[in-house]
Amino acid sequence: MAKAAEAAQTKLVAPKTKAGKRLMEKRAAKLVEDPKRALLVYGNKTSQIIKDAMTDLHKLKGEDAVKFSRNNPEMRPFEGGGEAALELHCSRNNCSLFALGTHQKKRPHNLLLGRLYDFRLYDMVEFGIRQYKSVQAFGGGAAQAQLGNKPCFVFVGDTFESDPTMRQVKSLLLDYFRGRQVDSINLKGLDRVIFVTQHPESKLVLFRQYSVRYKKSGTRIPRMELSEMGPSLDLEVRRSRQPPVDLEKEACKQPKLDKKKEKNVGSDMLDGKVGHIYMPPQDMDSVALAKPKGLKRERRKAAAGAAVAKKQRTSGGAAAAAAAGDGDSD
Amino acid sequence: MEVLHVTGEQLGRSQGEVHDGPLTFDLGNLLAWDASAVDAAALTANGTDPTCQRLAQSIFQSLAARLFSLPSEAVAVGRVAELPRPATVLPREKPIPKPRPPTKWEQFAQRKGIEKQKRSKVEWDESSQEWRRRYGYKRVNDETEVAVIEAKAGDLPGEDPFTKQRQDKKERAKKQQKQQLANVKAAVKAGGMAALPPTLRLAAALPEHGKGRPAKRKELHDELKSATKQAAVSTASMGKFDRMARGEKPEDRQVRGKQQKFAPVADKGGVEKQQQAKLVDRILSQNADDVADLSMAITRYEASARDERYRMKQKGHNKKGRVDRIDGSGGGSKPMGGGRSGGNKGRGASSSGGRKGK
Repeated sequence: MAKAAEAAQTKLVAPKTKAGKRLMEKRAAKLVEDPKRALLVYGNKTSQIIKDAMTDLHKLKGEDAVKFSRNNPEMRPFEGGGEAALELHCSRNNCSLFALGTHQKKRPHNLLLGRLYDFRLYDMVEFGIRQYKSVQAFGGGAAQAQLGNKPCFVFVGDTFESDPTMRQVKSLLLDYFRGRQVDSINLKGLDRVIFVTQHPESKLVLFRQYSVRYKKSGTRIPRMELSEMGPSLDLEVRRSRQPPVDLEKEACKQPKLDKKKEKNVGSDMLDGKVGHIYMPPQDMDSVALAKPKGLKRERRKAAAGAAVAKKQRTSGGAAAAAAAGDGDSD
Repeated sequence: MEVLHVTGEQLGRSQGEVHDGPLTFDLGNLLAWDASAVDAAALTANGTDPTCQRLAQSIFQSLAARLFSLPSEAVAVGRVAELPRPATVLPREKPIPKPRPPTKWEQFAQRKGIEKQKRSKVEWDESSQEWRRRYGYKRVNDETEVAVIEAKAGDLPGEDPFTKQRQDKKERAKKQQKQQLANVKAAVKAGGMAALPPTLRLAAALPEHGKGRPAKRKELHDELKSATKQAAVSTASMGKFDRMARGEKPEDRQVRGKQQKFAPVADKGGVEKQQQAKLVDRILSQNADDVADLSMAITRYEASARDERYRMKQKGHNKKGRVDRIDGSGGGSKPMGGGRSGGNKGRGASSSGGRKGK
């Protein structure tokens, strides 16, 4: 059949259930965003260290993490089209962070942390776990810290400013563990500290986490006592990928959150709330007036007469032109 | 009288040591950053972990001091401090939502100065003497609830007013959907896919049943043309011997697509001879023992060796290099008849390599 038969028709697809509608609204883009969710997956092959590290990361993220249990050999973000599977699963689970754990002879205990923007790959950094101590190994220190509280961050080192990869590492770790964006916090909830530095000689990124205990001091500010709670990671930075320039510009745009200042509002001691009323220029000839219903018949007749006259003029003009043309040709 | 001085230390209180050095704070993110270089000597001398802990403690003490000095208010569960806006710019996860452009009605209302009127959810129903909702189940003035509809002067005798009511309602609903689709399409045209509401999507659709006819004259013309062309070729002889209509060209009747070309029976110009000779040459060169291409030979040898090594590695081998299992393939293999060894897979590489090479 002809291709013109199928006209380009569009239809509106709306969610069929109220629950579906609520889910879509929850996943919509917002001015102030929800905490980023993480997708934790294994690659082609894993080691026990990687499995333990991913379990710890999953527990640290709490509700905001999804962990897949199977191996996924097709996830190869550093290759040409290899990020498609990752992007698909992340968009299905509404995750904008991912952690891919693999183990190969060439890259042992490999942990790939990355971000997505609009469910497209944004940037990623590959770490090799040189030393690892899990949360369980530190005993019951973690019980003091409550899940869902925002951790404090301590970064030490000038490399976090000078080296672009380390800047990316700082931004990535901050994004990962930050939690919800808030305007105010309960000071009682400062119970976790994440400490990150880079060893100047071995270039390993040292990641430590401590739980906080408050001790009496003479002043309003209590004395903090830290005890290591885990996980403790010594990471070697391997490959990395910086975000594409256009995507970076778009992603780092911040929305204007300040309340709009009300213009044209002032207050007077005598009059109270005052403002100016600016009248637009009015064209008196084309102002829409109320039409008197009594003169409806007259108006209708006049409109019909005008239409007939117009037709006569145009057709008469054409006929006159045709006649003139014939006359000329003769 | 003697005055006793008690120090904080005697009571067991001590202030935390404050970190010396330049600290950059981002209180919105609860972040403290020491931009000075790390002392490698200190790390190695006292051990990495204790040094890290001491550093973290002192820096966190300074950070906590800053946080505790923020404006705060006392709440039942503790003390809530107001955080400033975060200083570190982190990338968003989704694009900034764009406001929806106004619909056709909203534009008209803006122009005319019509304001939205807030209506109450319930209204007083005189007939049932109770408060009923404005729309929905058991609504005020439900026109479908009446038992009798009196005929008006202009009604035709065959019409059923109840059916007409239902049809009118369906038409109104259809009209509303059409208008909503037009509004959404206009919004997408103005602002792109980001201007869509988050719960709605635009999808391609087939035309309504019986409504698939193209509206534009040119499309109709093209459709007729292609239909006639198809009909002309739909005979047993593919339209070759049928009479041509007025305005039809012989090119229209030609069969589209690839056709199998047969060689002539009598071999003209020795074409068939050439083709056969080429085929024979190819077969002979594949199975020839004398090697013309050295690089291809080396590749074939290496490929076969690689296959053999892989097979050995997978299946394991004893000291003499023999594979324990007869069949090289995995589980579920069919039993081979007549002592056929699995070595064929490895040793057959030369023939398969030859095919690949060609």
